[in-house]
Amino acid sequence: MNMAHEPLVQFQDVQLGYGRQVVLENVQLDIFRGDFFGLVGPNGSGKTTLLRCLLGILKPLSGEVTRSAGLRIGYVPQREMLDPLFPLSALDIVLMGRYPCAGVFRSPRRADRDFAMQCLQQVGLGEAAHKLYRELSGGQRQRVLIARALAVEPNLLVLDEPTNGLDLPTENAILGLIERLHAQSSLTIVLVSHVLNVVARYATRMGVLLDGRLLVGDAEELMQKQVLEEVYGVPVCAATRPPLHRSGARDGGGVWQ
Amino acid sequence: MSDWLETWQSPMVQDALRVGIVLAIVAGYLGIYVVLKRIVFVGAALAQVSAAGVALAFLVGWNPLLSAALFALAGSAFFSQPWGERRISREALIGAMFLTFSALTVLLASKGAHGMEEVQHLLAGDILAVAPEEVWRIGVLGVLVLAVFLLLRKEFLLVAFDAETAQSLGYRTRWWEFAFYLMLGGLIGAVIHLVGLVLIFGYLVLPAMGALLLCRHVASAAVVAIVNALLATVAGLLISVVFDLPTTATILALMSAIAALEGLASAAMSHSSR
Repeated sequence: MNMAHEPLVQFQDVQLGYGRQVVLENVQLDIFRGDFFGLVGPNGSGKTTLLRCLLGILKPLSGEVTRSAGLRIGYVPQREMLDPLFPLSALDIVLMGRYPCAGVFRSPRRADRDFAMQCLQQVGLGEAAHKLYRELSGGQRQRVLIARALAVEPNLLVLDEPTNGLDLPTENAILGLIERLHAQSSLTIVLVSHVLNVVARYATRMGVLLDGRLLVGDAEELMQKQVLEEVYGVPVCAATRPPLHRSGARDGGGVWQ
Repeated sequence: MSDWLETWQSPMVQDALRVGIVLAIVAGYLGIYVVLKRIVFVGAALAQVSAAGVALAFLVGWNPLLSAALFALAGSAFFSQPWGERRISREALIGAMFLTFSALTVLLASKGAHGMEEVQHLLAGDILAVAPEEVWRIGVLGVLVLAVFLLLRKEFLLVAFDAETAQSLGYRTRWWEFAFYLMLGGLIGAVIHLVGLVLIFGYLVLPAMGALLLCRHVASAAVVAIVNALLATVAGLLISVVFDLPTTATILALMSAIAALEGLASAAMSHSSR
């Protein structure tokens, strides 16, 4: 069997919701090994619900979600969900990704600490390891959370609105980092955002949430004027802009030529 | 020997000192989580729920410790439930619980043998009135709660800081939350009828507040919180004996003063580092 075409996660005719309230119906979705999958939809369209099911936090009302054996998910939550009052350093937070390895009743070992440090270096934050999370900028905090997800040694990295509230250069830097992780480490990525162009620039496959359903296809296929107008409920004017020159992209993200 | 030294060395004050030291260490440490989790008023509400349990026990002749513990456990189970998107905020619910059980405590106590005197005791408490056999009981409970907390500190920290990620890592956060509230409620329930609501609430909030203002790490904040609580306990007892002052109020006033000093020190440090 071709490993690249083995789904890491498979949703089969899944219905999602809370109690009697159905949020999403007939969800058919395969996340393949090596995918860069973008999930978009307006606020309130059910992105978080689908994400929670993907993470295994929410059980489907009906249908089946199959996860491949050995699946390890590194989850990057929205920064705003975390309380910056906790006196935790960047390294403390990244170490949390090693807690399941350390086991209950045990402190993380030296090797876990070293690995967490490597993850911080991987996202370019080795120097800030001992800085408090609350003293970091929005972009640095996002990198810390990505490093924590990497500390899980994941084969699937799930990011929830990673560019929310970031200025443009920082947004580009974060997306550049995610793209680099995808390319260099063959990491499967699921990127969730309500900002369409953020996802469309990097994802190879996309899922668009519309009226309680999930449309899945190639990014280009779904970026049609008709689909976008239906999803966002406003007229869409297609703007032409030059393609991203990927080879010139540094950590600062892509360079428009 | 001077009068105050004789009083200080009396078994009554020495027992109060032992209980105070246990509370300072255990509640001082738990307080870090209480303040960080922003559940300060859950501590007060749980204490009030336990107080109602004590008032009921006095009225019907049950064991007050058992009754307080049962009420505290029920309260812990209630407060550990996730409070999602409802029409009423969690804060309003905590306030409602506090008020309801305050009223219940007064109503139950008013029909008890000692009436409002009992309510006064439950609210203000009197650490000097702790019976010698209670010292051991509180000591054992304190060691147990502290040991569990120290062993599971990283899990409690992860669940408090980022419950969603904890769930994605396979932690059953609802059980971890329940375990946390169970220990908090158990501690409050076990000591409320001995030291009173205000003192246990003070131990959970003030030492941790000062420590968190001063420290840059959870572990160091926990140590400073314990030191704050120990200082206030020992000095508070001593001052109250020497100057014949109310013990609970003296300890609380010292805890507040220490927290205020640490707040000032923190402000001065951040000002000088600019």
